[in-house]
Amino acid sequence: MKRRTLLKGLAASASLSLGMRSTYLRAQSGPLRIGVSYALSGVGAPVGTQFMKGTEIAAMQVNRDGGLLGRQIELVVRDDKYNSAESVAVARELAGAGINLLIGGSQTVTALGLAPLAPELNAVVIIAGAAGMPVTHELFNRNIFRTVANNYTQYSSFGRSLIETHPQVKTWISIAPDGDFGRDSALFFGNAVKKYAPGKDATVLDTIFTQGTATDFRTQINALMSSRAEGLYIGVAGAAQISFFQQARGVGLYDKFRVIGEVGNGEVTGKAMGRNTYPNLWSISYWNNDLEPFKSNPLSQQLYKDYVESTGNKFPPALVMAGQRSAMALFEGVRKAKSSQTDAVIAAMEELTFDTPGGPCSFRKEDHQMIATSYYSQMGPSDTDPFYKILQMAQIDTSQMIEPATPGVKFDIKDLPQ
Amino acid sequence: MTDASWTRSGQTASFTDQYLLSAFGAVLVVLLFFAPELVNPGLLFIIGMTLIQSVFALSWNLLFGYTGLASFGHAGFYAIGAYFTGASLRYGFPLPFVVTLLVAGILGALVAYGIGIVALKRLTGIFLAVLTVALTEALGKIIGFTPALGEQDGLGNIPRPIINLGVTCLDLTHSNAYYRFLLIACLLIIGGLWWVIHSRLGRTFRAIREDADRARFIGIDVARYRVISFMISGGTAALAGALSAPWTRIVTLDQVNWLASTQPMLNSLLGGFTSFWGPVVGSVVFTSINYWTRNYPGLSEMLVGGVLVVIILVAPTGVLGILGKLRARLLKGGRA
Repeated sequence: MKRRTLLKGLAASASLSLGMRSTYLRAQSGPLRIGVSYALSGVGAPVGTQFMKGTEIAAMQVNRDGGLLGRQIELVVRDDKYNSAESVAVARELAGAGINLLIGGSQTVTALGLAPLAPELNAVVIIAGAAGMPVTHELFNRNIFRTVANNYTQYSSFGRSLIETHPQVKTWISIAPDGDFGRDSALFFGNAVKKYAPGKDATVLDTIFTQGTATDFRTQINALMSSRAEGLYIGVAGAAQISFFQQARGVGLYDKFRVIGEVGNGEVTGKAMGRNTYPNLWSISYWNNDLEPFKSNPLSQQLYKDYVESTGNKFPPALVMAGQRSAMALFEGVRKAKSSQTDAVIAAMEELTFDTPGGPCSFRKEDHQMIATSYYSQMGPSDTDPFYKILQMAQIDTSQMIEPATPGVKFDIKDLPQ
Repeated sequence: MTDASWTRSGQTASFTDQYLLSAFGAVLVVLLFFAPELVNPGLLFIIGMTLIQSVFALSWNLLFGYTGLASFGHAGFYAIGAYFTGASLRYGFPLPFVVTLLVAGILGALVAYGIGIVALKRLTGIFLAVLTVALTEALGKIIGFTPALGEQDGLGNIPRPIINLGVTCLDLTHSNAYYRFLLIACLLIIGGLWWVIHSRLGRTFRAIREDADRARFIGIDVARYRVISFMISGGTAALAGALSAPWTRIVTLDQVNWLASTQPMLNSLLGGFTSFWGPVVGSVVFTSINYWTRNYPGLSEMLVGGVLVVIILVAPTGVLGILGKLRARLLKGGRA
């Protein structure tokens, strides 16, 4: 080789390596890019947009305090359209852009597309809102962390909470959509009612099934009115639940039942029913800033303040806290790892405990399921705007209600000790 | 480009166009083949989905554009292929992957035969459309109650296949490898459909579309050929679904409802249902709108809706129809 050729080669290599080094340095000193994939349009948008708001507030709070690892957080947001194929496309695009930290899965359908991809993309994926059992069972991999209680924990805790606050109600019944979620939530709820009833003397009648999108509930309401139950669990969500209440009110169902628990519509039902809200309606909830334990939690007060400042709305939806908590889990993982590298963040998050507006949270190392407190709100009508109010919050420590970790194995309630 | 526009343009222009289109097609195939080296994994996934959607839309347009039959429940056939292949890979059915794909296509064709033999002897138009919607809804319900198919959650974590070729193995577990397999499979299917449409069989379909009574009068067994068209269409839609399962690695009930059935219609109408390539162009246009508006939630739906309204009002023959008109106007202007 000629000397001139050798020198040219050395010069080219030096400039290339310097160029690469400067690119690397720029990447290390620029903003920390975090991918966010929620359902921002379509039928999942009412949930996804609330998660999004919470996640944005979390990033804003961290940036205001100086950022993470000395860098500002930049959220790269995409809409998964409540569609599993779209969530796969979004995750691949974000990973292709060099992003290895993702928050997504505001609903189970998108989480099931997202979760199996995480190892292939070498990404840490926070599953923010999907409560479906497969995420931490047969679809588990070490790259995913779930920041919401799963269906078993959520609805078992709900059943326990209601029977403990209403021990005088001895007979219960459920109305639920005839799908796996509806059947499971009614089953988990009913089993917990029987298990935690004082003296184990509660009776749970056969579930009445309906369509998840039904608009006419006359047959089911008739069956409920004919039953001897005094406590009711409604597994029907969204607009269908509001139709149910509107039809049930007129035939005296409010007088028949002493307590009703509903799947998680919360304020949506309150806003729609207003003064006609059932007076002892219990919902799965995440947050209510005006009530304890949130009222005395400075993180909750700060979240409320930031929400009102950024939106002008003084009545934040409870899911905002779930979105903020999901993002904070990842941010705290990065902070603890002192690195944004995938393996370091995973290792840090497995040992992570952090404070949230709803109290301390941690992850179970075996299946990366978040352990936190589950909250349930009691709602009733009000004479002042918005004509419904949250009366009190009940809480259950999920560590008492969680199923044993069996990562990689399909969940079956028959495998649990009864 | 429609067949009609070929003849309108004259023999010389037609030859030049054909040459240019062939060259364009060849360059496009080469670019598509090297797409894993040219684009990021997210865009590659979208290109793969566009290929699948193109095949799906072509299968629908074989019925609508070439045989004059409307299926409003085509997602049912797609789902048959997707769920069969998903279950086959997930549960390790002892079938080579290529055989799995073929069986998926045959299953789709057999279901189409079952519907066709019952319905197409007497029913066309809105009755057939309603029957196909009913099939899809029934299929959705069955899957929703089948634990092995994931019920409402869908069948997730579908592994990608490894094809044993005897002396060596074709490992398709990596996205890039499966993408190239997908590209070749889609090109073969599209080639097969092109051959069908330009064969005697395709001319028979078109004769039935133009005037079923006259076709019957000249001795064509209309019901039989309608069933054949329905079988090819159903089988091809099932193949599209079968190819999608290892690509997305999840199959859900989103793909088994009337809304999913509108996708091939939308793509065909956007691109132009009177042209063979219209559904492919429509799929590309639809995907492009979705991709370029991905940072603005809800905008893509508004844009697609707006484009559709414009197309229906201005050019019912779709994007290719508009391009054909523009080209004809330009040529006319050039001659003047």
